[in-house]
Amino acid sequence: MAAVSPRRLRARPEHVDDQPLHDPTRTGIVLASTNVVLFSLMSLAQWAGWGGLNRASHSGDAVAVSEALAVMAVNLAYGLLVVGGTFALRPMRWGAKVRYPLIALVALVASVPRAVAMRAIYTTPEGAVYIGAEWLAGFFAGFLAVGAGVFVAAVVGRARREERRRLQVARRAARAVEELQSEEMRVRRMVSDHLHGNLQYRLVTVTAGLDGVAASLDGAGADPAAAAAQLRAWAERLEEIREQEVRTLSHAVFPAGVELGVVRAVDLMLRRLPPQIATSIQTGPGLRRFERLGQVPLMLADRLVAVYTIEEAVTNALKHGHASRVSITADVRPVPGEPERWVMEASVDDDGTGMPDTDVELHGLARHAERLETRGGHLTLGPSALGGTRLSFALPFERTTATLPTGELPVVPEH
Amino acid sequence: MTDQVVRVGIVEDEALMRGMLEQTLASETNLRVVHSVPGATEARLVFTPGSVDVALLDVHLPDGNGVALGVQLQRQDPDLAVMLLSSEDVMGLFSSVQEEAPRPWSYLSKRSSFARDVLVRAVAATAEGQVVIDPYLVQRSEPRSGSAVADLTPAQFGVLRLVAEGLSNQAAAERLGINTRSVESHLKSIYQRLGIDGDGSNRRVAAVLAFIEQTGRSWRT
Ligand SMILES: Nc1ncnc2c1ncn2[C@@H]1O[C@H](COP(=O)(O)OP(=O)(O)O)[C@@H](O)[C@H]1O
Ligand SMILES: [Mg+2]
Repeated sequence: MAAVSPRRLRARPEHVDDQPLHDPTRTGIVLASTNVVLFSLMSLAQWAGWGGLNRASHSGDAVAVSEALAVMAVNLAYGLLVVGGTFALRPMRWGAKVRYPLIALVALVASVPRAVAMRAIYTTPEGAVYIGAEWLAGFFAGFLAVGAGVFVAAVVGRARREERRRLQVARRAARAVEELQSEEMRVRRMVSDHLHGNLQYRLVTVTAGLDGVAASLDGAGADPAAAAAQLRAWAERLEEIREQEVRTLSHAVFPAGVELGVVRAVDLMLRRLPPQIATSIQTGPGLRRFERLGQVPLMLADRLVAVYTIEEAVTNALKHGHASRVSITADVRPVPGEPERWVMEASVDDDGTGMPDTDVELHGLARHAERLETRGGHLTLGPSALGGTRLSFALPFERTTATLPTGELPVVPEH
Repeated sequence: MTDQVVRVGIVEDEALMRGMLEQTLASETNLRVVHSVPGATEARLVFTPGSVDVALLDVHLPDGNGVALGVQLQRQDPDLAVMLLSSEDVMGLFSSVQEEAPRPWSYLSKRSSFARDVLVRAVAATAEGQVVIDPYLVQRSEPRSGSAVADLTPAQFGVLRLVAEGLSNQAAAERLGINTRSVESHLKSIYQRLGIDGDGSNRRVAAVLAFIEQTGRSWRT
């Protein structure tokens, strides 16, 4: 038995362009830093306006220049401290309710050393009101400069995500059309091969056999009793052809029972397995609820994907795993936050040999994995608690409120 | 058999098949065909509650599905007995519907319904509340591995098969060449092994439902 852990099958690599071009956080940092530089320049202008420049020039040009540089440096350092402190705390991780108070806190903490440093500069005013106002103005300036940066980062991030989602939806739709077309071609080819191969050949043998019976009746010494027995045998043969060949074809085009729901179609399929195979199917509360309401939540196209995937898993369990027991579970649940979007989760367990240790080449499963991914779902293979293989898949779908195909059924009260 | 006439309604889209069913059933004195329509839409209009005893429903209808139609008709009229007709083996479908339908159904393949005695007996037994399964398919059903039915002895399984075909104890005894008492004692063991309790006809129906659920089609290829 293979001691592999479950692994998700990927039909195609992730699209590179699904990733954002660059990080919205970077946009935020650049904007916040620009704001901070502007603020420090403006504080220089303000210092000149106070008359600081005037006072400093009395002590000579060198003092004026060094004082001006000090004012700028203190404000720039303060601003960068708020930028650095804020972004080091990863503000984009939090919701707006935490994010902005967080910035305010950082600005509040950093504005204290700023006020002290500003006071230390010889040419700045000394009065308590002045210093208080200066400290408050610094705090607000820092908060607004960085807050604006974070705000823009959030807006850009949201727009990016929205754009990415739209892209994904468009790509998924395009792939669904593509997939539908290739699936149709595959089924057509399969049906045509089958008609011309198996069915044709088996019908020809029946025709020849019936000719033979007729000939035996033509000749002298015909034995009607023997001919009758032969005719019965041929009738039985025809019945077998009808059951097997015609059913194979109609199943490929449209599995029996699928108009009544996934579980019904799977039930029918399980019954046709050799009786030596123990089978079970368990539906979860989500599916049972819809059943009680007489509703089939999946659209027909989605039901086909689910039924054929389950069938492939069951076939593999018998063909490759030589299983003697197959156990299926299926349920549906709503996707949180997305009204009308649901997901079907199903699994097929077997008690067979398990997946081989070596990397296997996928055929049928690759096709099913791709169909699931096209719809935003996935397929996983791994070891089963029954001792063999477990295949599980998720199939997202838009819920329909379609009722069973004869119109509305009266609602059965819940027990 | 009761003396009362059984009222039969037919829903079948193939005209030839419908005609054959009508003719066969009409020639029986204790059966009367009251409706014979080609689709689900017409059936919903004419199958008013209380007007039909047994509904013969084709599974594949051009405007719907016979199984869903049957569930709907029976929910409107819980006294209605339903017998499915299909050219394909839909035993699996049929077993999952039994949980939902207010009353268990019978099932006949189209091939068997060409045999007059099989059809007439199945309709009459279904009207009496029995579950009848197509004899051809019953004979090709084998116990599913791991199920309770697989634990029955071959003799018990033989009896269960005939009960599933809708045969009375007496008819089953005749078919098997044993006496009715033996059939009854086999049945008692069957009920016990399948964990079925309750009274007479309910137990019989439960046994047939277990048969449907716990067998699979065997292929002689
Ligand atoms: N249930 C299983 N038990 C054992 N091996 C399995 C099972 N399912 C799949 N495999 C392995 O995975 C391979 C790929 O399966 P699949 O994609 O269905 O292609 P195919 O059935 O045509 O070989 C199989 O050849 C087999 O080796
Ligand atoms: Mg395969």
